[in-house]
Amino acid sequence: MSPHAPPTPAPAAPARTPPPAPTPALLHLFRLCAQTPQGQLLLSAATRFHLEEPAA
Amino acid sequence: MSPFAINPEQLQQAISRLPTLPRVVYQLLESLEKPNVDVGAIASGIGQDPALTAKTLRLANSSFYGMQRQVSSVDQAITVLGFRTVRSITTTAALVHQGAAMAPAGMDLKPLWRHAGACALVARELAADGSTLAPDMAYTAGLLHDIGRLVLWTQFPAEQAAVARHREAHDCHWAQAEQAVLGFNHCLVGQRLCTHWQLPTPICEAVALHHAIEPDTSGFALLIAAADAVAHAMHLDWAHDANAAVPPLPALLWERLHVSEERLLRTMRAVHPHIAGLELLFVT
Repeated sequence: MSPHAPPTPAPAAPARTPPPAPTPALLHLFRLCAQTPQGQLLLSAATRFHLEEPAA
Repeated sequence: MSPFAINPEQLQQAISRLPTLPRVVYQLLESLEKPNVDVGAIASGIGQDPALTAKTLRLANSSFYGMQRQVSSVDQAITVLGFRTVRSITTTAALVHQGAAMAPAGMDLKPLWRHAGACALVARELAADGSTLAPDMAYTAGLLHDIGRLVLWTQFPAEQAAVARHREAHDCHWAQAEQAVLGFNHCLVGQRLCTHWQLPTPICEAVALHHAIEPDTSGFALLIAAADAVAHAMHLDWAHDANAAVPPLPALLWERLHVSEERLLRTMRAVHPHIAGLELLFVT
């Protein structure tokens, strides 16, 4: 590559998919613990699980 | 003091009136802590209890276990399903039978056992997936974690109704409502019953402490606190209604159990296919 060639732009980082938002029903189910980090972790897992298994 | 408070003597009397477990169930529970058990003797013990044998075989032959051919004896069930599975089946059948024996005729205990069964499955899965805790002990502790609620529900219905009213009025966790109304919660009641039944210490501790986690709480109690929360998060509550809630969770719960969001999701996925079959297990 010529030393005078313009630098190749770095490939753009893939857009990060935002985590799915919990439904109002799930937020209600987590109302006693969602304010804590440990509650948030379980809520994130449950949100993903209920998206996969809407009938669960 | 709440007019519905129960004094310790009343509670102890109620528990001492409850039936003890069949002898073979003690052998099954003892075997949780023994690596070398006499499987033949236990199978023979189950076989001597016709009601327990019938329930064990009905469950073993149910679609829950998806067997290709029917089994007609406990020995055959052990050969096909393995001792650990038959131990879980028989213990479950015996505990469900005891629960029914405590309850007035017509009381529907399915919601209780549905939640207890879900907690048992989650506890076994969490224990089996990278923990040093015995999965079968975890299953049994999960099955029994709310047994104190069954005692209160069946032996103190008026007080239990007052707890339900308090919970609804304050939108608090069930154990907090029990504490406010009765002066103690179902964990203490469950511990008393497990002691009455002479169950293994890890089970007694998990039943006693799953809503009272401290920094030095044992691994089983932590595991059951986690499994209870996961079962609630999967909508496997006692009642699938507006009052359902995931309980407050102790700080550092997931760190102490080395549980990540991915592992929680993996556990839910692993347990989910078995949920539909839970009710089969808990038909009395």
